Amino acid sequence: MSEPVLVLDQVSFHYGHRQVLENINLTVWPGDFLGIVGPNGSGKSTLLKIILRLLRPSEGQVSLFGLRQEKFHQWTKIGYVPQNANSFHHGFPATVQEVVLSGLTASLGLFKRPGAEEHQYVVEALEQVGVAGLRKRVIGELSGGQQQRVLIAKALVSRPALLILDEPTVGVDLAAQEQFYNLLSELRKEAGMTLILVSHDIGVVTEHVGSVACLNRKLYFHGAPADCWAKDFFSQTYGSAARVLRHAH
Amino acid sequence: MQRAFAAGLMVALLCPTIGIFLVLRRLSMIGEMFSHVSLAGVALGVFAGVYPLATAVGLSLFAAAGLEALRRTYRMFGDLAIALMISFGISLAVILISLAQAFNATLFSYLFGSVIAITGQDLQLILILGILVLALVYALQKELFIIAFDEEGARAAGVRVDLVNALFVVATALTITLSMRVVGILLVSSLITVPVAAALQLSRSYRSTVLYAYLFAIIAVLLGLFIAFHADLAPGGSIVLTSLGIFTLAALSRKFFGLGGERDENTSLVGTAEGKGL
Ligand SMILES: Nc1ncnc2c1ncn2[C@@H]1O[C@H](COP(=O)(O)OP(=O)(O)OP(=O)(O)O)[C@@H](O)[C@H]1O
Ligand SMILES: [Mg+2]
Repeated sequence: MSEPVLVLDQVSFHYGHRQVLENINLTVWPGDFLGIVGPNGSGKSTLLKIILRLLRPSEGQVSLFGLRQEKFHQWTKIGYVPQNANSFHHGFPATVQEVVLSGLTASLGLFKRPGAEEHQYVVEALEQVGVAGLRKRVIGELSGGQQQRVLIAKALVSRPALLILDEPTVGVDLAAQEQFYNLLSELRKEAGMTLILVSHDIGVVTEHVGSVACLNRKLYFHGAPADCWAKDFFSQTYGSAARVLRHAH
Repeated sequence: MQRAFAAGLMVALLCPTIGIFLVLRRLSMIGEMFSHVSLAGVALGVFAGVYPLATAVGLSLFAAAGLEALRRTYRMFGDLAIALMISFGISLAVILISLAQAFNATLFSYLFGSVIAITGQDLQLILILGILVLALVYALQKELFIIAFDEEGARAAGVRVDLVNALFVVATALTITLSMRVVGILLVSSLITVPVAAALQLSRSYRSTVLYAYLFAIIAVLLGLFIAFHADLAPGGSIVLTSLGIFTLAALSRKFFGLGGERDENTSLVGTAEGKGL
């Protein structure tokens, strides 16, 4: 296989004095579909932010597409849908089209304006997530699930090689979730996209991903979902959270 | 008189250009901040006997740098850093005004705006720096949009958020200092927000928000100047009252004719005080 998309090498992270991530080692290869699961507060979003260099690791090393993170500049290769992405102000005066087009800002670069080609990309991204009909609607007036799809289109429009999604199916109904996972597997098969998805909905995630990482400050397990169930790692990850809770009282 | 209209037209373009992003990011307080700092700058000019608009521009740029420093060094909430800078601006202004014993016509023309006091030098400065600001914001249009929509997402995508923010703060400082000559220090930040607020009543997209905001600001400034000239008023009041009139009409036409579509009252962008941090 070619070089890994992502390597985390002994990554630790502290917020102030509190250690949130401890000695994480993880490798993601092209075409992988990794699900990161863990209870609330286990450090999942923090880990994603470290990957995206929104936060710097306290210790350890991150590499993206074969480059050390400090030397990596092709951020447009990575699409990101943040947790609570649809918590933007719902009075925001922008159409779906305008929001998705903004996903091309970085790849266009400073001073360059979008042209016909870029508008075509927008249409294609909206078709991919099945909301092309909503193009002219104001984003704040869509349902939560529709907004979520638009935000995924915004991440897809720059045609990233790696797509990172933080709890993308919160507030999305079951049928739409099913469609959403179908979309992800299409992207992976047809565009060869690498996917990292964070969720605490273990049941649904393990049905769809290629491998899971069970995170709770430390990485408890990384491998095929079936092995994870078999070895009962989930109760370990979630159980230790329960113990932490008991200590707190 | 002609100078006032030329300067007014530039101001009518500048204010919504900056205002739309300040409103969308819920940073309208920055308008207050720079107007108070500008007041201190004017007082400094009067005190030192130099051209007040120049000292106001200088002090505003200094305050812009101060704001950036506060935000970066102390990772302060956007709101708090702005509140500190407002306090700095007012207290400095009060001291300088009393030192200069400058409660005179010059100061009043800066406080309330003026039709007749605008000199050729003022107009030159307003036009040159104004064109610079317009060009800068036009060039950063798409970056400013995505930052307003989702700052963290923009950062993750590789947009140079810090650079764009710093340039935008400078553009804001210049806009407010230049506009104060026409509408006055007390009312600049109203001209920044009210036309945008009116535009938000009717708009169905970002593009139409921008167009409406320009339209409303131009109408307000020209009509306001016209009224001020003929009724011999300070133009700040007539301009901002006109723009409030436009806002009322826009809000009513949305309500009664269904223009602009339905939005919940509690999703209105204007009037929320929470800062999002620049
Ligand atoms: N800005 C911050 N400052 C200090 N501590 C933080 C901050 N953000 C998160 N934390 C702490 O870091 C830990 C991990 O948070 P993180 O958001 O990564 O969890 P998560 O696994 O994504 O949780 P969730 O499932 O609720 O999204 C939590 O204990 C949280 O309290
Ligand atoms: Mg999270």
